[in-house]
Amino acid sequence: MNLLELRDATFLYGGTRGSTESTGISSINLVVQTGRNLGVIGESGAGKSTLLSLLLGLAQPSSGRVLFQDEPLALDNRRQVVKFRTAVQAVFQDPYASLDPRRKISSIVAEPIRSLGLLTDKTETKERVRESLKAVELDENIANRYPHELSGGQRQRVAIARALATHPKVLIADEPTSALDVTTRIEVIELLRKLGVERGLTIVMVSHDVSVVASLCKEVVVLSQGRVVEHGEIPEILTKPKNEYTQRLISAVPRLPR
Amino acid sequence: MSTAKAARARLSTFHGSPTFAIGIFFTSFIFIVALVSLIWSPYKLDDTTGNRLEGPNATHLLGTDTLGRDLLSQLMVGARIAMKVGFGATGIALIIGCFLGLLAAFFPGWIDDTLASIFDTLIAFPTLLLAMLIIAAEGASLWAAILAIGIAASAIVSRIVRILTKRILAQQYVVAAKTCGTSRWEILRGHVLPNLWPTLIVNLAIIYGVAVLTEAGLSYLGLGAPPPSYSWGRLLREAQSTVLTAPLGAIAPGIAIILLVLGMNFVADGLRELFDPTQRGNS
Amino acid sequence: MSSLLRVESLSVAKRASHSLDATAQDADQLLRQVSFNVEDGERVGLIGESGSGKSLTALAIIGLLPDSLLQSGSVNFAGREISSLSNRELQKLRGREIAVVFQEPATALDPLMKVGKQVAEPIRRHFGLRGSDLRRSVISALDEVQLANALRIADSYPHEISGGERQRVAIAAAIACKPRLLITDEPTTALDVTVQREILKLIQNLVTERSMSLVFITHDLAVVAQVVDRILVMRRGEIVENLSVHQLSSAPAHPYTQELLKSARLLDSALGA
Repeated sequence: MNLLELRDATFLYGGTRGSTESTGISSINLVVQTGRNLGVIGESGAGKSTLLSLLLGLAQPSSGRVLFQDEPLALDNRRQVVKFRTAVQAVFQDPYASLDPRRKISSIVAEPIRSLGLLTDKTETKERVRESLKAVELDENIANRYPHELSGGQRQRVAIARALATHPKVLIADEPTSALDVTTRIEVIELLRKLGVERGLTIVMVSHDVSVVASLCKEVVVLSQGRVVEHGEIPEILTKPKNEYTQRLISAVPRLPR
Repeated sequence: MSTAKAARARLSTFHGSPTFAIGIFFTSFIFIVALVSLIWSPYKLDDTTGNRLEGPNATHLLGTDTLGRDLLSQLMVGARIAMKVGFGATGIALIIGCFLGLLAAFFPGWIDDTLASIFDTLIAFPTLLLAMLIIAAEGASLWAAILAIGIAASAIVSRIVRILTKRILAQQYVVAAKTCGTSRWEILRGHVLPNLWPTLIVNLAIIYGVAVLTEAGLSYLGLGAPPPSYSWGRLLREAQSTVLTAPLGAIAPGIAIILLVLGMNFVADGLRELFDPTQRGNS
Repeated sequence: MSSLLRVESLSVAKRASHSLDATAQDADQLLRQVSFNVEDGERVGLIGESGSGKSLTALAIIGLLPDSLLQSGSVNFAGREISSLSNRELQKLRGREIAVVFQEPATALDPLMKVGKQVAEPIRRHFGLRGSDLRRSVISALDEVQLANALRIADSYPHEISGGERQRVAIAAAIACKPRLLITDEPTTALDVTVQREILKLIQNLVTERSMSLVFITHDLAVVAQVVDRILVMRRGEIVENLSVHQLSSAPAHPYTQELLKSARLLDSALGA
């Protein structure tokens, strides 16, 4: 059974109303299988955020389908949506913007449990919050603090803890390390790797940063101008990219001197 | 950072900002005067036992008007009217403004477009003209004035609420909330309102001051509550003809208006500092 | 030989506010005794993580620190003490002798002014060129940063051109007056990798051709190693290590540099040999 799948998914931005800088995507096929971390590499204008909206069930494709556990995802089917949101959680790029500044960490981490009605008992919820914070190696005292009291790395850990609170199967990570310093970046990548192993979590990493994707995912798709231009295993893509754009991208990545 | 430190930071904004302290002092002074006038004032309002246009003296602290009535007592009752106007108009503006502003922000498309152009038209429409229209339909009364001012201000509140809400809805934490399965209603209650109200309350404090000022203007023009009414604006108007012989009759209500309006603006400034998240904790 | 830029014991602190306790004062110290030299034609990288004070150092050199900060120490440029110059004298220096390129080209350019006019501004101010002479040197400045179709770009507003083009324009404006020192603050951080490579190449070429000195500020070791000869590692307002690019791969001495390198190496190794 595939966890999550885009089948010939197209999303076009029609008209001028509220048009952001997002690019549409066309005819994308993508499969997320249990235990196989998937990387999506794309630069600005590649259609990453549109792809994310579809994968996260925040938008319906104009044509094609989003399948969740082999069933078409219907956003008006509350029961399916609850199952979907419990299984598929997200971490975003900017840990400063993805946490509500006026909520305590405990309330932030408990949000999916509350909103999805997963646990009704207060002490159980509290216990789950504590467990999530522990899983991301944060001190449980942090629960009583506000986001602005934490460092960028700590905030990103809180965001991951929030995603873990539902015991999800898939974690969709949107540039989760781009806003972080390099030493913190390594820590967060390590953490995601560890969570993948310990919790059987499949990670979908969407990023412009080839090295971050390569350190976490074996399988990657390269996205350019709304289309998948290359799909394969990371070693092949790195050493013998077939597509012209992929070649340009890979050769442009700055390397350390030997 | 510890909560103790955060609390200290809050306190220090209170102490460190003299304008806020002055604002609170001015406004609570008027508020207390208004409350006291409910149970006690030096003279009854229809007590004409004083001489005409007395200057300040031991029996009439601020002197008397052309009919020999005590000016201080009139001012105290006037404070009550100012409070009614301030809270009434601000309350109306808050209720209408929040409802329409949130409606517009949550329903982009034709609802938003229509409402936004209504707000813009209403803001461009002079409050005074609106007040005259309402008064023409309803007859001059304090409540007609409050309603007019409230409706005019609601356009401003609507616009502020609409813009702020749109900005909040575009934040990543709202997207994150959606992926957590949080419903639209819960996003409104749990994310939008808590992030909205600090800015909103600052603006309400300013609107309160503007409302008091506008009502005083309306009464001065004879468009407020008809006599017998002791609105500060009307007191000003009545003292106008005798301003050279008994200047205090005009000066005293003028100062009262300034105290309340300025006080509310100072409070707004102080609140702005107080709600600034960078002032809390990590400096 | 005397250095082009000599920074000695540069310290920056928040202006003393109401707090008097010693710990607070310590936290208010943003730069501590920063000293370094940049020789004529030398390319120096200033590397550090957020809050290390690298951007602050650049601002202090060109005298653009906000009033709320207090600066001490010496900044000597071409044998002249510039830390005590008046604003007016600094303005003569900025753009003419020392030019800066910032991270975000979208905010560094005025959105309401045509690109050509923004490039023209420093040339007009420092060289007094007018009319067709001015126009000609603007076009040649845009040509020099390898903007295809310089004429079209000159008549565009910043939002009408791409991010990479905007950064080229910002570089064109910076080097239009042939400065002796170019300071770039994270010039490629906001750009795509493919564009980043082109901009790095451009900066390298320009610096070599004109034998300018370069201070390249970044958080990215892999990026900085491509452009500079020497690296200064900053942490919490201090320079903790000063080493050549060759030394970087062999033996950084300071534990913090080692940690930075280790992290960068981990990411680099994911890309294969």
